[in-house]
Amino acid sequence: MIVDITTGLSPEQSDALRELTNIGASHAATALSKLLKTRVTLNVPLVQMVPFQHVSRLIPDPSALVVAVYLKVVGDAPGKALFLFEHENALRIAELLNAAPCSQGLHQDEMALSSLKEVGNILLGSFLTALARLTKLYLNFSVPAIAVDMAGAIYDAVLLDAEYMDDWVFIQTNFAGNQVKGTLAFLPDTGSLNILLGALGL
Amino acid sequence: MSAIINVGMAEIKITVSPHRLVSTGLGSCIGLCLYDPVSKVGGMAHIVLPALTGFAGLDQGGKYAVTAIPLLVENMLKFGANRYRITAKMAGGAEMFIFQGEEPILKIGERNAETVKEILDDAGIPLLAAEVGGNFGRTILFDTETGELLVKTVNYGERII
Repeated sequence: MIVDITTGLSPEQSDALRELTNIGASHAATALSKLLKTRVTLNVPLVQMVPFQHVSRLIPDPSALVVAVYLKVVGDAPGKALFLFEHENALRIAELLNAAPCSQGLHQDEMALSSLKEVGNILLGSFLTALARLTKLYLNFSVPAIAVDMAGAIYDAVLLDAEYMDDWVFIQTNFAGNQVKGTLAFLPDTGSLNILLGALGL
Repeated sequence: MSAIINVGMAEIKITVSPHRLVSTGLGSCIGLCLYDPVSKVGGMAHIVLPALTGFAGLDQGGKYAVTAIPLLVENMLKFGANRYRITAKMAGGAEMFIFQGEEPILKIGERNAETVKEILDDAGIPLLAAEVGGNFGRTILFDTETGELLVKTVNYGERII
């Protein structure tokens, strides 16, 4: 479902981006299934493409506590990639992986944060690898960074990291599976969207 | 009856006592509050970037520090504020993510805070208090009755400035 088309994209281009995101996200789900040794399901993803002035619509509750893994994409189509875990879900995943309860606040639990960073890295990495393979573009990405904070503050920082924001497109898909509850977001830098679309012949 | 008015990204809102202004989840953005303690007119801008990089729509006057501050002042005067009584408080300007082994080249939060300070200084508006920097988000609530700014965080408690 395309929620908002004020991006100047044609229906064909929107469809292609949605499909690209779907395939990338299902690769991410497969990778995570292996890591957690359990089946990770992925509901029909919601792909949203919105320009900057409507970004707030993507954040239903800016005060919601989330765990965010963030990495920068470099190469032919640079951008930003982000995975937001619901806080409770992040706690469960960390406890599952470390076989130990998080004893203190998650933001101070180095071991839990390190595990979650790795989970986010795998999710985003497999998404981006699928994206690169499908478009035959060269994409590489930075080491991940992690933050435990309000969703609004996370989005704000990621959006500002790109600095030019008048023509942003935001591609977001929700994981609503049995093991992972969260949101994967990809923000192509200015110009990158055309490169992605061009690589798909659109 | 005191209302709570939400100030979203790039927005500017003005109100008068007893109403309050809130901005939720500031990361690198700056929440700037201007206040006239006599008329109790208060304004809040949710500033995104220091200066114009492309062109800004007029509906987004609060996006850039350079346009937000004059707009705030201008509109507060319409509400009965006196230009020479206006004072400022601000919060935000964090760097939410720290990449290991990498010195952030563009410290946007820090630059935002510095730019706002400079513009306030040029405009002769005293900055009474600031709660900026760090690597955590902030939610701010400005009380136009008292001129107090409540700064709330997830992991580091809250304080009034």
